Amino acid sequence: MFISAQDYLQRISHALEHVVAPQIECAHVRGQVLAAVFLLDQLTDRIDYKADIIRNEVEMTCSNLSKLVGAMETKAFQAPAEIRAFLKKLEEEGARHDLDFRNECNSMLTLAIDFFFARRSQLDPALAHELEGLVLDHCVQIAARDLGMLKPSTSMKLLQRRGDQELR
Amino acid sequence: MTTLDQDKMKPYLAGRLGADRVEINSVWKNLEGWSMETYSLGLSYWKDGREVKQDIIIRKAPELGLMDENYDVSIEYRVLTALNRTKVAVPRTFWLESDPGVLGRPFYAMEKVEGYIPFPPPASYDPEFRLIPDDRERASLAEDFVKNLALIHTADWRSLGLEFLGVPGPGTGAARMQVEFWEDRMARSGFRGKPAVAYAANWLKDNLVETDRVCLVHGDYRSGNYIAREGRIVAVLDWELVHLGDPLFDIAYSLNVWRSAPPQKWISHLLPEEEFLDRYEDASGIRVDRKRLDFFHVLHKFKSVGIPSTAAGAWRRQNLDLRVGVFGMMQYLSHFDLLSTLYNSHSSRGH
Repeated sequence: MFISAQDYLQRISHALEHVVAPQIECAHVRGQVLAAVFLLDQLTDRIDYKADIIRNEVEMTCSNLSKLVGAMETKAFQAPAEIRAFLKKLEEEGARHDLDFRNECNSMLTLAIDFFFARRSQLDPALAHELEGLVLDHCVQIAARDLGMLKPSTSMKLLQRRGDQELR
Repeated sequence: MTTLDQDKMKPYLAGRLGADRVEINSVWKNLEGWSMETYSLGLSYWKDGREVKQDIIIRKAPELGLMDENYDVSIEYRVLTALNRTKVAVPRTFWLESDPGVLGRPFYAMEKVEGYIPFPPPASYDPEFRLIPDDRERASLAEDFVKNLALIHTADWRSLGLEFLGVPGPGTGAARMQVEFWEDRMARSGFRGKPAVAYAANWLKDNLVETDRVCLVHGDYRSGNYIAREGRIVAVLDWELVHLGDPLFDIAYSLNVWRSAPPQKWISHLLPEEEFLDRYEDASGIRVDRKRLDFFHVLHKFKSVGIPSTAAGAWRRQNLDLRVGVFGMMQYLSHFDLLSTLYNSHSSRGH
C-alpha cells in the first residue's frame, strides 16, 4: 500500500465535508454526503488491515533482504550499518506484523537495493543477474498483489468524468 | 467551482489590456487539465473608441496535484512565447502575472484558440471505436500531429532563448537528467523509499543511453493535448513537462499512450506505428534508433509512476480534490506496468 487505508478514509471524509458538501445546494443530497462523512469517520478507527497481507509482505521482505545482503557480504561487500543493525535486531527479536514494521522493512530493502546497484558492476555477472532477479521478483509479486486489489472499472468511470457540469 | 473575484479582476484586466469598461461575460473553469488550473474568460471591453469582444485563457499555477509543488508557471509561458516565433502551432501568449496577489497564484494569459480537443477515452477495447470518425479528417490531423512534433524537435532552442530549461550534459546527460528529475519528484512525494522505485531508478541509471542531439521535448505529446479545427491541428497544448532532452522521450511517450484498440493500435488514435515513425523521420531528419528507444520505453513507464506518485503525495499532504486521490491510486497500475517491462527485459537478457 502506498498510502494507508486510514489516511485515505480521513482525506476522503475531509474533502467531502469541506469541499464537496458546501457546494451542494440540494439539502437532501448534502445530507447524504454529510451522512457519508459521519460513516467514514466512524470507520476510520475501526480499520483492521488484512493481517495476512501485512504478515506475508513482512516475511517476504525480510527473507529477500537477508538473501540480498547475505550474498553481497559473502563477496566482501559490507552492508550499510543501518541494514546490519536492522537484521541483527530482527534475528534477536523476530519480526512484528504491523504497518510500521512493514514500512521499516521496505525502507531497509530500498537501502539494500541502492547498495547492491552501487556495487553491481564489481560482481560476477551471473550472481549480479541472479540478485537482480531476486529483487525484481519481489517487486513484481508486491505489484501484482496490489494490482489484484484495484477495482479498475470504477476508476475508469471516474477518470472519464470531464467538465464542471458532470462533476456537479 | 469557478472562483474568480470579478470585482478584483475587472480593473486588473483593464490595466493589462489598456481598456475601459471591461466586462467578464462568462467564466468557465476547464477541468480537463489535471495539472494547471485553466479558466476561459469571455470578455468585452472598450479600446481605442470601439467595443471589443474577446475570449482569453488564464493558466494558473496548480495547487498540489499532478504537478510538482515547485512548478513554475512562467516556464510554459516563456516556451509558448518563444514558439510564437516558429511554425509550431501554439496559442499566442499575452502576459505573465507573477504576483500571486491577483489570483492567489501566478498565472499567464493567452488567446483562446477556437476548435475542439479530440479526447480519447482512458481505455477503449472496441476495435470499431474511432476518435476521428471521418477518415480524411483523421489523415490530415495525423499529418499535423507528426509535423508539429518534428517542428518542436527541430526548433532551434538556443536562438529561441530556451537554454533556461536546463541544457543536459553531453553523452548520457539528457537521459540521466530525466531519470533524476522523476526520481527526485518521487522522493519529494515520499515514494523513493519503495523497493520498486529504487529498483527502477537504479536500473535506468545503469542503462543510460547517449543522446547525440538535444532537442526541445514537449513531454506530453498525444491526442487530448491539441486543439483541432477543420481537420488541422491549430494549437499544441499542455507544455508543463517541456524540457531540453532526447527526442526519443516524446517518441516513446507517443508509442505508449492513447493507442487505439487492437488490431489497429494507432498512435494517438491517428495513424499506425510504422507510418508514424517513418513520417517523423522524414519530417524531422531524426532517425529513431529502435535500440535506444527501449530505454525510453522504460523511462516513460518510470515517469508514469512518478505522476500518480506526485498526486498521491499531494493527496496525503494537502490536496482535497477527490480525483487527485483517485489518480494517486493509479500507482498500482503504473507500478505493475513498469515492473512487467523490466521483468521482460531481465528475462530476455539472461546473464
